[in-house]
Amino acid sequence: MIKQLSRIFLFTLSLIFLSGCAVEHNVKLPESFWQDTSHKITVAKTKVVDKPALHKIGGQGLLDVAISAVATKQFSSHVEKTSLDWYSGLSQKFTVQLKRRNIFAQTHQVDVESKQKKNPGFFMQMGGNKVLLIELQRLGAIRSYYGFVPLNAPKAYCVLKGELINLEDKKVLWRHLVEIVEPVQGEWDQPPYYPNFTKALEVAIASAQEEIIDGFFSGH
Amino acid sequence: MRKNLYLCAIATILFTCFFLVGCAPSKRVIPSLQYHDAIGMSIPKKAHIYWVPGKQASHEIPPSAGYSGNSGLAGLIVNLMFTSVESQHRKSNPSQYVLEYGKADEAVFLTSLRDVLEQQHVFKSVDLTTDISKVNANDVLIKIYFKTTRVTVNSGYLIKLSVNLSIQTGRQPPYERTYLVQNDESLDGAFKSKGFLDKKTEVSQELLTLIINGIKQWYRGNK
Repeated sequence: MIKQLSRIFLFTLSLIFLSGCAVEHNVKLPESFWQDTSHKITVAKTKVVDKPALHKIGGQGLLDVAISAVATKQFSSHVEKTSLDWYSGLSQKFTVQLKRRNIFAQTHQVDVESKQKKNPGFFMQMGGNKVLLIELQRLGAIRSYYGFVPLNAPKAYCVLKGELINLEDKKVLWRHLVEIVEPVQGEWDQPPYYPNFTKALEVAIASAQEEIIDGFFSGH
Repeated sequence: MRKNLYLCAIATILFTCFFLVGCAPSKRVIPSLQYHDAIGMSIPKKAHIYWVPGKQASHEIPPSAGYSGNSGLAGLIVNLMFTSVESQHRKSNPSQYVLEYGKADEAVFLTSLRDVLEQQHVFKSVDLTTDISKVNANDVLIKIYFKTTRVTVNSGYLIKLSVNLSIQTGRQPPYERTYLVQNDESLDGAFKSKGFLDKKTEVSQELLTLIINGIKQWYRGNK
């Protein structure tokens, strides 16, 4: 009995430990980075896999998913139409800021596929000795559900991740994850153009971009 | 049956009151910050610290799911009472359900910065100003703009401060830096996490060090 209990305890402990390890924490850029002048940075962005969408959180069964999808069809299709032009310009913003600080930087014109992201050899072909990779992980709206019942109004949502990878040893020198949840000011349910929600989404996108840039250049 | 309901109701009200009182943190604003290292510079000029508050993105603690210890009609009534007492408490004490790095924290930060600069005699005198038009052109104007303060709660508290520092004196171009600081997300050993106020203090302390480093850099550049 005691043996069994200790096994269960050890199993639970290792599960907690492993789940803790799986989380990617933000990594601060070391101060020594700014003293070194030999950086050749390629700024790239990943291809957007998930188009802008209404992200539903909370316990939902298949039937709940179907019912809530019907109820939010018009809103979801509006969210899906969100422009991604700003994302294309983000790599360029980083390149400009790096050059302003006398660091050699170039923008990689082709989006990186998720398969390529896992292949270290791919980054080597991009040139330079470091890659600054930007990834739009989620964009659109977020809303909590209990079954098919919404628990709150949708909020604008944007998740961006940035990583600076040293190509020599594949070490991550900097990592910053930005998650912006922006409440809608006033009424949100204003079909067909949802102006208040659209404004909140614009704020969320601007805040996410600003934070990721501030995170990299903090103090410099 | 009726007696049981009455007992349940009284127990719920008492439990909710104790629960809500227990939840309310007694102290929410950061304490005065300290800076123990020697700054080691002396500028024979008056300095004025000017505070510009920005956007505060707070986290609202969601309503609790209710009391689930009892099922059936009695459970439903108890649940309804729990929810109504909680929502009433929420209405009368809204600030207790919002986690934020607020204006009070920003004010403590600025007074701490002023105190540190004063104690270490970095400038001839230091004050907090609310009107920059009255600042003499030869004095040093330290503008601190809290661009965004953001609090999110996922597995733990995450506080992010994005702050602009601008230092100007005479006709020189302003020295400008942006700082983004956040607290350590990892647990503090043995799966024990620090409280919200501790995390706010930790992140403020880091910001104070960065701002003082910024002032040092500005001084070195203007020597």
